Amino acid sequence: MGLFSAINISATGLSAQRLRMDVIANNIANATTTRNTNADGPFRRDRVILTPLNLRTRWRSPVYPFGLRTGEGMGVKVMKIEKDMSPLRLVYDPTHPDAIKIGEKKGYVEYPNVNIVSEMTDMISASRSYEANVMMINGTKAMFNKALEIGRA
Amino acid sequence: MIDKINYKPFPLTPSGDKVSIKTTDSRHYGDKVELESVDNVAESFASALKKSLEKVNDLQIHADELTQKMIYNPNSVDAHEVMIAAEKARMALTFTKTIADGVIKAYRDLTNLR
Amino acid sequence: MFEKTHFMKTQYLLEKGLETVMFRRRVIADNIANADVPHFKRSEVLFEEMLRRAIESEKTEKLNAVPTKITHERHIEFFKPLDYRAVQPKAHIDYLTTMRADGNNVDIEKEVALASQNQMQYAIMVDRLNQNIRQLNMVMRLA
Repeated sequence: MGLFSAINISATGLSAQRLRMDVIANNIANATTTRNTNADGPFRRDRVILTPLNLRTRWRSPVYPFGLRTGEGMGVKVMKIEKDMSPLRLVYDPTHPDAIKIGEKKGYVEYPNVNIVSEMTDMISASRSYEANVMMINGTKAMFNKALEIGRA
Repeated sequence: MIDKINYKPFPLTPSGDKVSIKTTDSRHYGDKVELESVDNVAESFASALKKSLEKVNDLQIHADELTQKMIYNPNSVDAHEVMIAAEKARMALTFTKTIADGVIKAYRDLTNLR
Repeated sequence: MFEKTHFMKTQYLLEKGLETVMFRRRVIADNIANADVPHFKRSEVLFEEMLRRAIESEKTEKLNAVPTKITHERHIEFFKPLDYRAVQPKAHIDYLTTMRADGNNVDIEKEVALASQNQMQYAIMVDRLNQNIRQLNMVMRLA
């Protein structure tokens, strides 16, 4: 029940999609970065983990199926942003300063596991969801304005 | 003959299927809405009048409560609920005043009869 | 006060319909916000069919009612029409379908179509409610 619950729900969707767009933009910008801030490898692709929000989750048990919500839905929440641990792309280039010096992968350079095409499709999906959420907010605002006309002569 | 001996008068709608259920949570199933919405049947004119005025007052209080709730707890009340309650309260009050004016006018007409 | 009349029944149903439309709006907003969460299943609101069953059971009461001999107040009738006032909107989760490989089953186009239909329903209900209120106001003016 609520005056603004519908708008709040769409707002959580908007912020989640916005964050996703930022993460995708970061991934694309760093698609060929061979160094990391921790100096332990190249840049790894970031991934956003989303989860639905509920009014009340009454009990949790290990056998309760995941994704089975028990309360009224309240939108989406970003649980965390984690690194994608899929295998990195290897390119043979012994003259590169970041080439691996020892081991069986000697002379290979590790490039980030960012696939530009899949990032672009993610971006299209995120912007489509963003537009749908914006449409919902506009519609809810129009409904609210219409409700204010009750009783007007 | 035997039927007439055991015959007891019963209310117009049999209520054998209405069992009282103890509902303590909003998620319990049970009959929450009562079907009896009989129009005002009262013993005397005064009590019928009083009951009607109390109902008008209840409508006003309900509208005020929803308006207050809209301010301190906006997520618990809907836009159209508030507007409809306000409109019902206004209509009830207007109607009461109209009827009261008509009654007073009729009384004055009667007492001013020469 | 005049709750058994047709007019008041229409008012009551309009108010209930408005409440259902807002509820459905929230459920659709939730579906769209969660449109790319893996393993999310969409919900939908059931109200109109239940209400139709309740109202039509009142209409067919004369045909289906087997006359009963009732001599005690605790007797039960054979056919009892459902009370349309007891019908509440319910949201239930649609478990059984899947749209995408990650277990999500939200179809954004369908949700957007439902949302625009929702908006139109709200507008027409509010308009009808207003017309009824205006009629009452007109009747109540003292001649």
